[in-house]
Amino acid sequence: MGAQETLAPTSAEIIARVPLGERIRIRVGRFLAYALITLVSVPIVVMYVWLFMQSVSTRVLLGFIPEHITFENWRFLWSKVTIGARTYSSIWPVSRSWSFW
Amino acid sequence: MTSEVTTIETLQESTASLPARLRSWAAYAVFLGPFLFLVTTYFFLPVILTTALSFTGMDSKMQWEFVGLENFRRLFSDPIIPKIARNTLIYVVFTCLFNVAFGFILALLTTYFVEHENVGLVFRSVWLLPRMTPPVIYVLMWQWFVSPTEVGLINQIRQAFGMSPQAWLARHPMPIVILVNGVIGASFGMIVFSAAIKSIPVDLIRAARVDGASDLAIVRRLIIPLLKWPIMFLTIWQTLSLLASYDYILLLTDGGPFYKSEVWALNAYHRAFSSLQFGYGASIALVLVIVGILLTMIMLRLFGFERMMEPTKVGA
Repeated sequence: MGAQETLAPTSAEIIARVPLGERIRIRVGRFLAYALITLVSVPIVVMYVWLFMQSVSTRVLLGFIPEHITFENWRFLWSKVTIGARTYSSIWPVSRSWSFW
Repeated sequence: MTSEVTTIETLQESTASLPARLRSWAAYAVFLGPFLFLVTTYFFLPVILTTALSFTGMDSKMQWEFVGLENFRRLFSDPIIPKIARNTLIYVVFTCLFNVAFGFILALLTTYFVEHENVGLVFRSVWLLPRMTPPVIYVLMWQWFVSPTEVGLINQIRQAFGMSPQAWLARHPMPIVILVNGVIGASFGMIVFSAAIKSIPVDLIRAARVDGASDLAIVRRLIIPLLKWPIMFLTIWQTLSLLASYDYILLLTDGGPFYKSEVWALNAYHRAFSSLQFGYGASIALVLVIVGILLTMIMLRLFGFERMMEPTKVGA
């Protein structure tokens, strides 16, 4: 097992053995990869943050920052919800049948 | 060798006693029965029903009234059909390209370039969020993103630079439809490609690095050739799925404005369930089934399916 580890060094060990110029090139490549994956992932995160912020506020600043925090939209967790003439029953019996399936 | 085995099996079966043969048939029925039942009920029967329906003039009265090829004559003389066919081609080609190419880039970034497993996992989880979100919620978020009002995210960014708000969805419906579907599809590609990249023996990559191969050379000469099978699978799967998909388009634009984002499958849905012309809708859907079968055969040939079925040389 020990001999195998000597024969197969890790990527970090290989990188440590290469000349400085090459090492900088590899590091820049890695940095660009992190920057790219962050850049393309941020819009998805922003969408979900917006969704959550909308759910806990009555008004949002710039369509994003909550001004008046409220959990009124989450009342389906602890009470029946009445919207107009319709009353929706508690979420828990539905969740139980859903989790069963 | 195979034929010898088959002959022996056939001989054994023919000389076996009746109870033994019944037991053998029972085993076939138990193992193959559920599969055959599901495939027949959910794949073959709908195609047969759609074919039968396409030769009828069934409408809201629900009468099986045989009209021959009338629906197809009407279909090929419908002035809107060329536009819908063009939309479908653009939608399928570009979304499929986005799904496969971007899925590959995501997989490469999160499994090859991002070396910390947990960091890669966080990014992959973020990209899986849209797939776990109900389509209505996912489309709602995109509608905020491209909202024509001042609260839309893109318009807020434009305003920060002194530019006026734009009605993105009305002006560029097809690119947005492609992007919305592409983000969902890319996550599927990402998972398949990530698993495939991780299954490449790490010694191959290390040996290439020791030999002085750059990252680009490793990707081009090592990873892509070893990923031919998942690339083929994803391209065929995504093409067929996209041909028949319309749910996100229905929620986002409903094919509008002025048929600019109406695709073939959505048109079949609109004709059948909005106009209640079930016979005509079925004929539109039947064309899609035929196109799907032809495309599958062409793509299997293009990718060299039979050659790929041979055992892999990696790790041998």
